[in-house]
Amino acid sequence: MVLVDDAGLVARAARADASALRGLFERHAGRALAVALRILRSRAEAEEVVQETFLEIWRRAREYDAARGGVTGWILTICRTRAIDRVRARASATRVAGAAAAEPEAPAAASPLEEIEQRQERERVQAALTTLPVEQRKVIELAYFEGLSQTQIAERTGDALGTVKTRVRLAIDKLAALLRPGVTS
Amino acid sequence: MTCTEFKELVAAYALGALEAGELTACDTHLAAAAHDGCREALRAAEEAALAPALALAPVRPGDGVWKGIEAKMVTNTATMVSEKRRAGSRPRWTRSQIAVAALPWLVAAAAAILVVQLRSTVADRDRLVRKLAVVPAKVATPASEAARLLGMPGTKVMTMAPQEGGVVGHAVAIVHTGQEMAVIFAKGLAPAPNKDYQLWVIDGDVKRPAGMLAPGAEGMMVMTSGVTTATDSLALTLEPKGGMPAPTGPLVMVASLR
Repeated sequence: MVLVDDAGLVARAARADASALRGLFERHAGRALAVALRILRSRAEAEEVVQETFLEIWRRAREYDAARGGVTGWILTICRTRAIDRVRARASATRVAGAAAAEPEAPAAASPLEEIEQRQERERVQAALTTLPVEQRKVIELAYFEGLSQTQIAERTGDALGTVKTRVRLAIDKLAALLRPGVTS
Repeated sequence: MTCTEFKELVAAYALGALEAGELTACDTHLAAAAHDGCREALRAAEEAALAPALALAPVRPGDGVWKGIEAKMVTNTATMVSEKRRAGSRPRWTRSQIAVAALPWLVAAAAAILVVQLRSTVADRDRLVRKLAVVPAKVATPASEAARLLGMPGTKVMTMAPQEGGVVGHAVAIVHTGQEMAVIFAKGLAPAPNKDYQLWVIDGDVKRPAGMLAPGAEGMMVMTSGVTTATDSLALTLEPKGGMPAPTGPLVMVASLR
């Protein structure tokens, strides 16, 4: 039996096939929740964001364009954007320190094989990230998880804006080279 | 903005770290018809920008998350139909599609009604108990066994190495020598006429037959017991249909446990 790929599930979701959305949820909700939790530091809010994310996928499945990127990126980008919007909407951030770190790692993929593939990909990405100098990794994480612009990162870190821009560019260039298909970290 | 200037900003663009003015300039540039590698650079940068997310360990959502999505899917779908009809256009969602979306809820509702009905009389309850008594115990499948092993400390996950002159495909071995169990999953193994893939547990010179890979929801799979700390490796061969007591073909994929 051939596994249906992500793009196939999105196409079926676009035809109102609820089981396809369930398939996407089983494959990607664990990652989406990890991202939302890292940004929001609140389990309840992060789960709400995951719900909103998959409902948005349900509504917008027809708009998905594989030429513009993979399904994983599409889902995680929706989730991240919604989570950051929530953070920005908070009048006062009520962050629970360490909440994300306290969450247990749990397999959330649809099948053991998918879980294994996700684990292998995660290890590959983690290895790529560890090759970055600490300063480069920091600017990437501030931009990704806190939604900071380069100017805001410079203000936060006290570095010159030009330095931040250079770090962002070098970090993304290096990650792109390391994570290119076929490259072994 | 030129393509060169865009590519200078593409990393920050992919990360969403540009200021509003730069962002508008990039969007305007991307909307232009002709480019010198801008879209390719953007795609690569966007994939790289996902690294912080992909490096996180997944977190299992609570049971209520999917249930909440299901509930809202039905509402959303009905609302979309209603809006389309109000707009006078042909509805995107047909009745049958709504039924598909609502199916889990209908099933849940039917199940709830059934439970209530079954609870209504002692006789019904007893009948249910009798029915449950003849339901066989859950049989372990390669998928369920893999899930069990993956939840245990000490489980090794290995990609099986294709051997020279072997086959195209991807196979992983999930091994727990303490449990003396292994599960093999494979994808993309080329079928061969009148042949099947067979698993072998190799201890020194002894190659013990350990099952035939069978198609399943996860691809091809097989599970086997008797994988211990004395086991040197697990290997796949192509054998005549149904398998052989000893390998007749070369090893096509190997996972070394040493």
